[in-house]
Amino acid sequence: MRSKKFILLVLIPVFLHVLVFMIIPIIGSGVISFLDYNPLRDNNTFVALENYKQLFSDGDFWKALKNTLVFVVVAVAANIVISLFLSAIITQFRSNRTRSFFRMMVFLPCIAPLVASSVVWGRSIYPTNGGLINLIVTSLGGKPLNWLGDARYLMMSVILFTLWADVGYNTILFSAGMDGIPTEFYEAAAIDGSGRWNQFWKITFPLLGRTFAFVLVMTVISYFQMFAQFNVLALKNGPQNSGLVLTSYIYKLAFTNKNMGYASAVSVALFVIIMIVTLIQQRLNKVDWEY
Amino acid sequence: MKKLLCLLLAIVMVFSMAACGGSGSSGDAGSSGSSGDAGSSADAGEPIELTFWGHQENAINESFKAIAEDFHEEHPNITINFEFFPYDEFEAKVQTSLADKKAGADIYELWGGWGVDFCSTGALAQIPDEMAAEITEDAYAPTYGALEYEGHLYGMPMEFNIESGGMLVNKHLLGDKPIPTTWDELVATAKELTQGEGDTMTVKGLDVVGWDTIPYTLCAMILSQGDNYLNEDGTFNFTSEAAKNAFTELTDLVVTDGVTNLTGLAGGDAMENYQLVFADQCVFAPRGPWTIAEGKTTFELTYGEDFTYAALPWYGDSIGFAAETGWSLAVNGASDKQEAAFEFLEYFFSDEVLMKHDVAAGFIPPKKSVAEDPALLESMPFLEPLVGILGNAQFIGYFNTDIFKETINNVYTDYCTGGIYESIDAALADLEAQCNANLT
Repeated sequence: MRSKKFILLVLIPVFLHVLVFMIIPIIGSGVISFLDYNPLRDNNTFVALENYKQLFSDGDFWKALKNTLVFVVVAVAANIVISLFLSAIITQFRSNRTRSFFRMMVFLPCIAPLVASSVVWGRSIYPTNGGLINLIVTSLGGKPLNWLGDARYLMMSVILFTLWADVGYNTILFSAGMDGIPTEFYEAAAIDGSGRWNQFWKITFPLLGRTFAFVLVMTVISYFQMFAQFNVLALKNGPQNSGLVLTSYIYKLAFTNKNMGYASAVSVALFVIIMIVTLIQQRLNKVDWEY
Repeated sequence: MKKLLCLLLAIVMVFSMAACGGSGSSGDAGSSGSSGDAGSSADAGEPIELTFWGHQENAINESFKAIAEDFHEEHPNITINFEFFPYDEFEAKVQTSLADKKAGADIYELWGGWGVDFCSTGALAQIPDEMAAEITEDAYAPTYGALEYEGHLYGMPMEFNIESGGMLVNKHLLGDKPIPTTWDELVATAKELTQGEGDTMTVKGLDVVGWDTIPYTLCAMILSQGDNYLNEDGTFNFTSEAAKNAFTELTDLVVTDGVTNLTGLAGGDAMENYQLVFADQCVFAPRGPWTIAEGKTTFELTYGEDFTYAALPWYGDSIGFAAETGWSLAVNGASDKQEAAFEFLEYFFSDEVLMKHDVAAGFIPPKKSVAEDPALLESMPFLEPLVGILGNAQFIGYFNTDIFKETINNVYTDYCTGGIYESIDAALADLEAQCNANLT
């Protein structure tokens, strides 16, 4: 009983933090979504479900939702594949020092703030004239492209940058998960004549289940909330709003259009989407084993 | 367990009550509106510390500090503490702090356009009558248009924001050619000097494609034909013959003449159009004179040798352009030091101080008496093409200019890209409809 009290006491600051900075704002946002809200005004009109009705006829909202889903699906899938691949390679090294070195190298881009690295990519790697990628393309005899100003390439460019900036984090997690798999399984498989590829699919991948479930849920949630690189790389949301995602749309509605009630309705929609996707993932990724 | 829950609830209630209490008490101060009601002791000689929030810009920030020091010498009991924020996050910070009504600053540096959203809410303190009269009598109308609400002023202009009537010229790229004096000469010279095409243009002849440049240029082209983009009732008119001529000419610069491309709006350039002039990638860029300082300091160029600032030829037969309210100062409606804050604003609006600040910042003064002072041109000779036309400016209009610019830029981009509008009439009808819809 005493230990239970101690645990509860220790958890109070965390509960408070979650309550004050997460639950209350979420409830507040829900309340604001029913108002024609301007925080500077003393009286804000109750508009019932008007803001939610507007969502259905708002072309920009659907465009932002489509872009967000494309970004999340493609970037998360690519991130998982690349980070699994990298961690599988890193785990092959027997020396701890070598493994640590490569982990550090892969993790380095994660340390830089997204805004700062987005600016560097936007100003030195992606520009049409003098950008690194176009210099490489032209030196190979290709035709330079407008990576950020052409609606066809903008999303791909943002995804490429996101992968560079973020893939190291999941690599570390997968790598730690792989290190935790008992070597006996691999030894037994090797005795039975199983090859490396077979070992990866039959031993590593299934036993990474818990790590995989965690990585997938966290990556999906964070990618739904990505904002910085879109804000920097997609100039005013890009041509024909090709770089408009839900987070940047919320920011634009709230701080440019000063329409906080509607911005809150879009936030609630994003919250519901993330919650549904997360619940589905949790159901699909249920893991009932241990080793 | 029950006790623990009670404790938890008690803490949460304390948090909530503290938050509500703070907002309520300061809200009362804000609702007074008039500076005269604020309980301040500026005259009593008691030490007063004012907080001033501005956006990061070295020359401007240093000028603020110097002026505050001089002010402190005259008012030894008032000290001003500065906090400067990156421009991109400044508006959101100002808005959030004004909403809080307790945190934030006593004095804000405020982009005038934000006034349309802020002034009506009571978040900013009303400018005292005497000072308001001085502003409306001596300042140009566009410099305070967005700071007005129901006949009262809620901010003090520091500059005349002008993005029309002048252009940056790259002298290396222009070579021996004379600076064009008519619109047709300008386009012809630009066509001759453009290098490359499409998105990978290496030298743009005349770059009008930018977030601010397209809307201001379009408005100026309509006004210089003797027409207006605003009807008398404040609604938009982009379906006139003058608007059609202007829009056709403006889109032709990309589609037919090929003297610029859409990267300034769509993305893909590492720099804005005026920076491209400094980087030898653009010959002419219509922008305000505030850009000159960046050419001198950031790009380390010599004015007159590497680049110059010249009059932008008018598209129509007359002189006419639109200007929005630029950088201004405002006092927090919830501040309990409003009297001292307004003393600083009054000090700032004197001819001598305003001249000092505007010269340091590269601004055009908002006051006629300062703008017409020959000393201004002695300090900033590059303003010569502009000081004579300030009286021809029209206040851009009382609406959210960010949305206005975005609407024009989107229609412009969509029309130039093709495939969306069947004709220029369809594009302009849509532009007019969108702009009018945003007014409601």
